[in-house]
Amino acid sequence: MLTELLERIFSRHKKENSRASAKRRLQIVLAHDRTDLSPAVVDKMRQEILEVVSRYVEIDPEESEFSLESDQRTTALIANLPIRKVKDSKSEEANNAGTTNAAAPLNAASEEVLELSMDSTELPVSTELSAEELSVATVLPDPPQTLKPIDRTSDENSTTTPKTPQPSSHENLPPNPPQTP
Amino acid sequence: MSRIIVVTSGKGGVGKTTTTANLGMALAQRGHKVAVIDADFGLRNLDLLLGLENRIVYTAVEVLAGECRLDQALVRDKRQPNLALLPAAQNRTKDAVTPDQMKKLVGALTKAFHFVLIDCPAGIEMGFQNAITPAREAIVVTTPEVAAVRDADRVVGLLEANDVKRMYLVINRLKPAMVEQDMMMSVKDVQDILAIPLLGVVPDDERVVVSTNRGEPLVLGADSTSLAATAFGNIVRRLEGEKVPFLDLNPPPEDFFSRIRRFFQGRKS
Repeated sequence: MLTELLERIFSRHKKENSRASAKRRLQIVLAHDRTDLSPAVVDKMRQEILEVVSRYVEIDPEESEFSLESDQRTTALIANLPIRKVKDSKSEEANNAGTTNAAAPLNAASEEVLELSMDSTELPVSTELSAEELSVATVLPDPPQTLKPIDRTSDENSTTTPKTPQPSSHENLPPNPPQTP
Repeated sequence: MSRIIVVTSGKGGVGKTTTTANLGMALAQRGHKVAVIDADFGLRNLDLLLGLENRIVYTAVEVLAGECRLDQALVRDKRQPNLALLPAAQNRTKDAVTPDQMKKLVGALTKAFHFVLIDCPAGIEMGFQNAITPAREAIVVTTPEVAAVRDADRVVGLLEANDVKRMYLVINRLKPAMVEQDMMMSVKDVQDILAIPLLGVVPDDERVVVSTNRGEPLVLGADSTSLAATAFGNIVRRLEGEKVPFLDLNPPPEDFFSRIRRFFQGRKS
């Protein structure tokens, strides 16, 4: 009794009141109702967005938030992806592109990745597999496959460029796997 | 031009029929000619809430089948001659009528009435389609509960998709004392979520039960001074375009001792 009372005095704001949780839960569920997106699709979208973003910057998968929110009858996709650091591999790859491709602007980084994976011998299999794997990854927890192309390119990168890009592109790898359920 | 308003909610039991009965009666009291239509085929109740259940001879189904004229099916309220009810058939299902037939019925009613209120059945199936197709405006009734608000949101989306662009929100059965203690969503909370213009707030009132027991809408009976009846009256005035301030539903401030007592009893949240 006394402890309960003390608890109430000192930790009154700990538990969200039911009014607030009703509102919060409704906002989330309605965002999903309104867009009519299945959780699987949302998750796939999340993975793909993370994949694209982590190509450019290094993000913290644990701190990343990804949600649908509704306000005034419009639904927004909110992705909060804290950036750990901007990948220096971008400039590295740009340099790399400089060697293979004469005029390579900044966004060459992504193109470079694509190009390199296309150069690889088992191209048709690998790209198709990765596309399929993505949709499967939403159900099955074996996502590393989805990153295979990038992985390979980074390896190829490391062969053509000095040692430095390797750690950064390998740090880039972890963001995805832990994210998948 | 007459106004055709559907009263809908998605979820059952939030007070659609009570709202229709009271708004219909209050509009009639203010001199408008009002027809209320029960679109809940198979589960009709509007007749019961209006106390007209013993005077039904024909229903909308007979009118559509050409077995009687429309004015033969209309039940005129003896207490309030401006009000008439078009009953639904009780022995049929929602498939007994089509949206086009409802449109025809309502179209015929607009020739003689200023207001046509359609009491929509719960759900979003055929009966819902029937009820909203003829409507030009909609009153979305909800209560400050998660299930009711979620369903109301779904209905708002469906109304938009069906070109019923003018929608108003009525929040029914609000318990101000619970809102005060953060145990119930407030008017603003619900409004934030649904984001359609607020037409009125009706406080939870035991007298609503008593009035339905008797078949006398609140606004008609001896309880017409109750807070809920005043709220319905205000809704009608807002429908007419008048700017009426919302009722102050806040409970009288708690005295010191009850606050202390509540603190020791613990917050049920």
